[in-house]
Formats: sequence, C-alpha cells, structure tokens
Amino acid sequence: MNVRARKEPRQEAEAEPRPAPDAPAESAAGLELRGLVKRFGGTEALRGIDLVAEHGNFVTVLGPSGSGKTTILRVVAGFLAPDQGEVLIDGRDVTRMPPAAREIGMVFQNYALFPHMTAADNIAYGLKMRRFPKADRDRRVAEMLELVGLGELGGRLPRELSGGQQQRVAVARALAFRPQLLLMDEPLGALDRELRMRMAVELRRLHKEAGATTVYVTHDREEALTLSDWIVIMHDGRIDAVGTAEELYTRPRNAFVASFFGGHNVAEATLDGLDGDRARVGFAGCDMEVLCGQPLEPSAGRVGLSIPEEALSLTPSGPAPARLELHVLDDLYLGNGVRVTLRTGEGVTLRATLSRDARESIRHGGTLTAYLDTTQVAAVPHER
Amino acid sequence: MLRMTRRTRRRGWQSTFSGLTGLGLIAPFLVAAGVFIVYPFVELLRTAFGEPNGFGNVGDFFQSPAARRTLWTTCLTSLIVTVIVVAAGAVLAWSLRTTKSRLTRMVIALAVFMPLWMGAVMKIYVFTVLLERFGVVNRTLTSLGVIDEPMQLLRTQFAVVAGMTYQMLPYAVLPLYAVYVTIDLNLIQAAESMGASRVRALRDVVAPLALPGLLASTVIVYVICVGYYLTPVLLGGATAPFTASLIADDIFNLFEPAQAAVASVLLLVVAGLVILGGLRLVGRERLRRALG
Repeated sequence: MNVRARKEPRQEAEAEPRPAPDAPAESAAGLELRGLVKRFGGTEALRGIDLVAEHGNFVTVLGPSGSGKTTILRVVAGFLAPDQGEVLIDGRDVTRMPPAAREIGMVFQNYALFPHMTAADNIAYGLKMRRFPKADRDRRVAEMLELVGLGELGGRLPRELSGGQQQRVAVARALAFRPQLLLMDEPLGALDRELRMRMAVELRRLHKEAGATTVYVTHDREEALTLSDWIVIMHDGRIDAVGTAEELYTRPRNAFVASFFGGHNVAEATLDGLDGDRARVGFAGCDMEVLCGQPLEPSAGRVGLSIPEEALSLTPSGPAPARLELHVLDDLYLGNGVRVTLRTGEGVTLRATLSRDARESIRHGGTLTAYLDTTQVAAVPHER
Repeated sequence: MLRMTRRTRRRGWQSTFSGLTGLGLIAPFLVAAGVFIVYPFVELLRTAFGEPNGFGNVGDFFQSPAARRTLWTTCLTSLIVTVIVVAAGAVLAWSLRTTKSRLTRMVIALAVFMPLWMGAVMKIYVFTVLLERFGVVNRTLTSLGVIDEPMQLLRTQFAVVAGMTYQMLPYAVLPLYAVYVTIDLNLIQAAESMGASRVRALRDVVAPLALPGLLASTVIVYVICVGYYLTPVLLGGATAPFTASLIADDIFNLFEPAQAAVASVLLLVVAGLVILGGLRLVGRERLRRALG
C-alpha cells in the first residue's frame, strides 16, 4: 500500500504542532487518534480522544486506574474496536484492521511471553510470521538479545529467567520485527522499585536506538517523568492535559493535573485581577502574583492555587516570597527533611516538605512561620 | 518493652512427620486399598487363570467369534466416542474459558454438566424418547420432509455413540477447562500483535500448551468408555455388543465365571495400554500437572 499517495494535505496540517527533531519532514504523525469513543455497556471508557504523536516520540499516557488509559492502548493495538473515531499509524488508517496487520510491537504488563518457547524463539516469533529467512531471523534475534543485554540467555525458557530478564525479552520480542509503533502497558509494574528505575532508563535507551513511536501507559508518575518526551494525562475517559513533564509540573492546567501529576497542594484563593498570563490572588491573608496554568475567566472570583510541596520553606526564597503563619497538624521525620501537614488561618490544609530543623521552628502552641515562593505557584480554574 | 512468652514443649517442633507417624496416618487408606482393590484384583486373576483350563482360558475366549466381536466393538466404539468427545470438549471448554457473556457461560456449563447430575437410566431414557420409531427426531425429520418414513435409530451403533458421547462430554470438558484456565489469554493477543492470525495464534500458542490436557482427557474418556455396560445394552441392543454385557451374560446367564474374569482382565489390559500410551506421549510429569 502506498501511504504517500493516500495522504491528504489536511493530515499534514494536523500533524504540524509538535515537530520532533529527527522525524522525516514530510511524514505523517507516528500515531494519530481522532475522536475515539469506546463504551462498555452503559459506561463510556473513552469519551472522545484526540491525540497526535510525532513519529519517533515517546509518549506516556498517565492516569489513575479506570481513567481509560489501557483502553486506549487496546484500541490502538486492535484488541478492541472503537465505537467511534479513527486510529492512524504513520498516516495509515488502521481502525478496521486486525492486530496482525497493524505492524505494532506490544509489551504486556505481565510480559505474556510464550512459556513453551525459549527466549530466542519468543523474539523470533514476529519474524517468523513475516516469513524472514532462517538466517536473517537468527541474526536479528542475536542482535536483539545483545541489545537488551541477554546475549547468552537465548536458550532459556521464560520461567528460567528473572523478572527483569523476562521484561527484556518482552521488549526485544516487541521490537525485533522493527514495528513502526511500540505499545507498552505498565511494563514495569511487576518489578521492584529499584529495578523499575533501572529498567526505565534502559527502556529510554532502547527507544532511542529503535526509533519507533512509543506509547507507554502507566499510573506511576516517576516513570512518566523519567521516560517521556510528552505526557498525556487521562482522567475519566478524557485527555486532561498534554505537555512535557516540566510544563505539566510547573504550570498545571487544572487542579487534577496539579494534584495527580505534580502531587501539589490545591488550595482555594480569591482572584483579584488578571494581567496577561499572570493573576493577582489573595491567599491566607497575603496578596501575591502568580502564573496562570491556563487562561482564566476574569469574573471567576475564586481560583485554585497549585502549591508544590517544596514551594514552602522556613527561609524566604524567590523574588517575591509570601510570609505565612501556619498551624502544624502533623510532622513526620524523613531523615533528609520533615514532612509536615499545615493549616492556614482560614482552615486550608497544606502539605510541605521542610528542612531538617523544622521541628525546632515549631513554636509553643504549634504554629510556624513559613515562606511561600510565589514563582512556583500556579493559578488554575476553581473547581468545586 | 517487648515481652516474649514462651511455651515449652516436650519435643521440638518439626515441619515433617516421622516415618512411623506418617505410616500410621495412611494406614486406614492402606487397609481400604488392600481390601477393596488388591484383594478383588488378585481374586479376579485367580478366577481368570484358574479352572477350567488355566491360562488356556484366554485361548477359549478368543476361540469364540462372539467374544472377539464384543472386544472389537468395544474398542472401536470407544475410539469413535473418544474422538468426538475430545474434539467437541476442546471447543466447548475453550468457549467456556474465553466467553465474556454470562449467559453463554451458563448455557454451556449447564449443558455440559447436566449429564453429571442425572442417573444413567434417566440419561438413556432421554435418548430412547428422542430416537424411538415415533420419537422426536423421526417425527421432526418426517414432518420436514427430509425422510419419508421413520428410520431405525434406536438399537443401532449410532444410538450407542450418541448416548455415550452425551454422557462422556463432562469428562473431557473438565480436564480441558482446567488446563485452559492456566493459559494466559494475553498470549493470544501477543501472538496477534506480532502478526499471527487468530487461527495461527491458537495453533502456535494454545495447542502446545493444551496438549497435555488433550491427551489426559483422551485417556480418561477412552478408559471409561471401554467399561460401558448400560448404554450399549439399552440403546444398541444386539447391534453393539460390548464386552461388559458379555461379562454380565457369562456371570448371570451362562455361569462361566472364568470367561467373565478373562474378559474383565482383557478390558483392564486395554485400559492399561491406553494409559501407558498416554504417559509415553505426554511424559509423566506433564500428565500429572494436567490432572492437577
């Protein structure tokens, strides 16, 4: 099938906004989703998903369980048919194609390695389906084993490998036939924390070498931070926000992104005025000027404030620190710091991580003076 | 402060029993096995190879064309039933494993396990009602114009095969379902994502993993079939004489215990050979896992 001939100009325009440095200039998006809707019985798992990922990008879909992130992956893979919408891989409409015809590699949460085949046979399976001659197959399998650092272990059965090694076989298997798109469904979920972080770095390297567009589903924001070019935040069957890790962390669009992705406090404040992308707000008896996560309604009256835990400190920092008098509800010694739960005079609860000597700063009666670095705070639409 | 209470025991705790305790615990089973399995079996062999001609009794058995025919009918009919039952059971059990519809699951489960809840006579009576000269099948076929006059369905080998298939189905579905449950359905999707068609995925992934289960249910079904008595007698009559009915005749009508015993031993040998064949094919280890 000739992809170029079928491509309409409209697609190019849509694929435009996020050019990846190494993508061929005229190619269509690596993955494009248009208005995907999927219902299970009466509930809508996906309520209109639109997404464009450049060829070769690493996109993480992050969301709490039940947000629809795995459903997206299964629709893209072809294991579920969407009720509405289209899936395009490199400009090719695959919505009505069976999984086998989509040229995708997939890494499953539990790896789904074929238990009766050796690691090498698992990796060779996709090549066999594509009728690669035996010699080419063997060469490619050896190459993949080398790439994932399992050079000598090709002859082992999956049950004779450790969790991390099985993980590597699963990735090698998915990449062996050079798919255009790699899908990963919480692939590190079954590993312990230390191994998870090591494998995340490893996956990043493999992605760079393979160059396939990668969609990675997880509920772990640390993984998302380590891995992604772009992070897509899912909430309740919708895409809540798309951005780089830094954008989403420092300038969340709304309260959900602030609390779920950033782990920030979200507190209510009064909106006193807007000036471009900055807002003047009143919070805990202080007036301050903060960034807006998205354009706000000037007449809103009230806004949410996204306050990172590290924005509060015992000593003033930043160009315009705000001085807050706070009640200490709870303090937890962490070794390198003290995690405190604080309350403002208005009764708003804030979590913060303070330096080790925070305990000495707590005055009789349980109050504490802390400084808020207002440059780290962002205003988001107020939600009830 | 943490305080620890300590209870003293006369002997230290051990995770395993001593040999003597173990022997004591399985003694009831050993006694039961001795009384109900070993003794009757020895008695059977003594009868078979005792009077009138010792080991010549076996020769006498094969002298009789009727006796040879029952053995042949038994083995062949059992084979036909086994093939149908295992093939149908493999599909049914797979449907039971993969369906997401509760209704489908309930219908299959009910249809498969119903025979287990009914007495043998009841099951056979159902088939008599279906297959008799003016029964459900014949009436439906004549009214549809497929046939002009009722066919002889009852007292044919077909009736025996149909009745036995119906009764044996659960014995194939249960072990196969047990094996299927251990197969991760993601494996099929993994194969499909790598370019395999659904059929190819089933062949490459499910079939090899289900093989021990298939062979196990084949062995189970065949071995049970070989001993069938009531169904061939009531549905097949003289058309499908099973060795089991020959044994009954020898005991109750002809009073030839030696011939009955020889026939029984031969049936045991057939069953034993099938089990051994199954073991060789699957490997002992895998068969044991398949059987749980």
